[in-house]
Amino acid sequence: MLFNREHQFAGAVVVPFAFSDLGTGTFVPALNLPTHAVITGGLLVVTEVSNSSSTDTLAFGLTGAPTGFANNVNFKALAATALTVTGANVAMTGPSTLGITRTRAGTEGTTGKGVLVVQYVLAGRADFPHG
Amino acid sequence: MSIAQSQTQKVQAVVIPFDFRTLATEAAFQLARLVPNGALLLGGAITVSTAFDTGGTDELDFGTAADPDAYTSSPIDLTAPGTTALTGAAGVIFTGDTQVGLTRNYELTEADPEAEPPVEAGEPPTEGEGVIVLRYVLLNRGDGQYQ
Repeated sequence: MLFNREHQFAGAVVVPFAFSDLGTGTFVPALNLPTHAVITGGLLVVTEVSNSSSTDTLAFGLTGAPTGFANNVNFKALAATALTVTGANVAMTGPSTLGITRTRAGTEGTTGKGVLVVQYVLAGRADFPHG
Repeated sequence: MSIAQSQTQKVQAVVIPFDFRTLATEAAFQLARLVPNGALLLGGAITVSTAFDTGGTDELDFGTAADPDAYTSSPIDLTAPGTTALTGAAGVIFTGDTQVGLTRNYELTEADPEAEPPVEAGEPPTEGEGVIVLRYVLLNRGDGQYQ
């Protein structure tokens, strides 16, 4: 039966980060999501620009698809980039690790901060009934 | 240094219902909610569910006390039903408790009996309602581990 009276609160994981946390070319785990989690949205926000010497970008995704939810986000510009939440990766088919990968072409700087927000719901979860 | 975050939190929202009786008619910022320090805005929308039957101009801006139209790139027409996504809100981080609210641009049509055809004076609205939803999370908040 499809009908279900149960509703749930949307969840979010908020992950602040700094340039010194990320290195370059390395998948840095940011959060885990359980099986049946469904990502519904989110933001990758640069709150302080990187002053590294050349191009500097961020990506966000799963271990096996590290650019799946965001790619080529400029770490040298203040902006909020909405996560791309389409495709097969949105629903977690098993316990999943998601992380940020930074690609820094030049030498490291002394600034750069951001906040990652991932919104999700969980299939099978119920917080309160209605109807 | 790890950035891994194991805490999850509920997405919060301020929900601001309004109607033709609760909106002030003067063009001044009308405080609606206080959003806490550390809020990171995710976005939201303004929905006019019942059009205002105002005999003239009736528009709405939404923003902060310091920038009253911060989240409406152009004024919302209250005389037409519809939903408009907030603009400029996603990613904004409040660094202190912040007042958010509405500013109404309300002007009744003036009578002009000399016009062809003559224009009658506009009447105040007798109906009209809507709701604003602004979603946010809080930095450094954790409601618990994954459940």
